[in-house]
Amino acid sequence: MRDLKMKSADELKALSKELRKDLLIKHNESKIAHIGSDLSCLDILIALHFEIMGDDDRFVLSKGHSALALYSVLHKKRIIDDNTYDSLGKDGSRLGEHPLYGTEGIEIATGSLGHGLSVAAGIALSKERNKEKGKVYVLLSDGECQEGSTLEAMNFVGINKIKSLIAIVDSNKWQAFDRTLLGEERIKEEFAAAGWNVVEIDGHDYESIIRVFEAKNEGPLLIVAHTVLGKGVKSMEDRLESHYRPPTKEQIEEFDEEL
Amino acid sequence: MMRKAFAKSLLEIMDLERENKKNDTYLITGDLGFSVFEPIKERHPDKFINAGISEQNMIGVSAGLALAGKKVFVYSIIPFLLYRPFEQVRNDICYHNLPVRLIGVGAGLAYSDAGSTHLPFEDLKVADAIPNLTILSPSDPKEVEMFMKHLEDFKKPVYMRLAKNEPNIEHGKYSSIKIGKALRLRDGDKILIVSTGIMTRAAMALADMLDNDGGSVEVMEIHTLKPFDYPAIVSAAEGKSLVVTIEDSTGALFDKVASSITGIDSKVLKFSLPDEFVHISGSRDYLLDRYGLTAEKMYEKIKEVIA
Ligand SMILES: [Mg+2]
Repeated sequence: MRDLKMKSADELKALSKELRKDLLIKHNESKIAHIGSDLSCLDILIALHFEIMGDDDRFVLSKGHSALALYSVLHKKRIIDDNTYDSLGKDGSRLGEHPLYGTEGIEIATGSLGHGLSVAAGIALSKERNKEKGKVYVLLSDGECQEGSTLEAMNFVGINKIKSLIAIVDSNKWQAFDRTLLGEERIKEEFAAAGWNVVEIDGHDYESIIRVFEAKNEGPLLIVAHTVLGKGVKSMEDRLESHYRPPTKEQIEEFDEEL
Repeated sequence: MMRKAFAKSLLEIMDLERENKKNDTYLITGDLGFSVFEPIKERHPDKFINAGISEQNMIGVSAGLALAGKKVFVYSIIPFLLYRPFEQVRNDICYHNLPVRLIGVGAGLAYSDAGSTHLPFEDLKVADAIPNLTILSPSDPKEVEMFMKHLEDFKKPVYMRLAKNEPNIEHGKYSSIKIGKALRLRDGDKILIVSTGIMTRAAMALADMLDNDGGSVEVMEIHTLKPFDYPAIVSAAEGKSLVVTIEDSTGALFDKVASSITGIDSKVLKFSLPDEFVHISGSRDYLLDRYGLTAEKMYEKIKEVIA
């Protein structure tokens, strides 16, 4: 097990503040929805892309509505260039509200829920059968665990014991028009029964996030990340509106004041 | 035996890859293949996947395999290959233009006694609606073998529809088969018959009957519905008084042929399945006859039209 680098965790926290602000501004300017879901999974994306993943690893964003959070990370990593990033929300942009085919750093264009886990399973299976190094990470929303295709993929991974696959559920307790109808307990039970290792973390605490990725696991791993919709701006937190309404100027100021 | 031709060709590809120490070609099946895929399963367990009864996941996994560089063959009965996981076919495979070959069995009325749930009478229209998807509709096992050769290094998504237990037509033009090109099976200058899939056999019999009457019939087989060979059909239709389309589907072939020859002064006659569910059971020959798709029934109809 690697040492936890406290300095690194501090850097990640600083990065988290920077990209949160960046996302608030992007959503405010572009009027694109889903800021709430971006802010609930941002810390997981940062930990994965700046701390956990190496060249042999691959990442699938199954919850495609968090595209902007991923763009902000890919932009910070210089995978998406400034011009492309600046075009977000403008006519002719290659960056969609959900990822489009052909965007740098985007493994697969998602947006319709319930696709990512199967695709990630296929990539991971190919790796394992080729005896290649690396893991495949896939980020799911808690809502999309209701999709039959997610459950099909869950069972496929369990049956085939695909150990190089790590799925993370962004458990922000909301879906588009309700509290999650299939609750966290049920999600954990389903995956555990299908042969997955199920662990839980605080999805906004970098030490907790990094520790779980470093731990040894015997089989496909499901990480249930407890997160907060709209995390970082009190008036947006845990409110369904932040799934739809872009942040106002006042909310951006609120974010600045809370820091 | 189209299925056996497919399985045999795939086994040869996998055997050859193993000799060359490659590991590219995968078969993923939706729990089907009894008495057909056993040799693949036994000799290439590392490249065989039974996805079980979960077709959406099967298609998603095949997209993942292709993203990781694999050439993937997916096999199921057409409704479970194309309709059940339609969005995975559209988004994961076709949108990403991945080299996944969707091999569907039971084209047209092949599973006639299994009922409408198993009858993909509208498959060509459904498949035609998706961008990037090449649609292959071979007429016999030898054509399947030819396509398997062409597919080895094909870089795009493919849907190939197989029927069931058809023997070879022995039309003698197998070596001329090219994906995307219409295949001229016989020459003539009065009537043009355009056929696809297993209906090519009936088309050839029909052409014989019309020739006996001094009809002079040209037969063009459309084994690739998409991309459609418009130029070949336009030039074949030039100067013909009658163009006949024959398909075991609901009019996808007719639509393409009719739209390609709007500038040509010839009658177009459509032989296809009706746009309706099938509420009766019976053999394929029985149903084809009921829908007027035997050579004899089509001959009578054409005689009426040209009288
Ligand atoms: Mg949610």
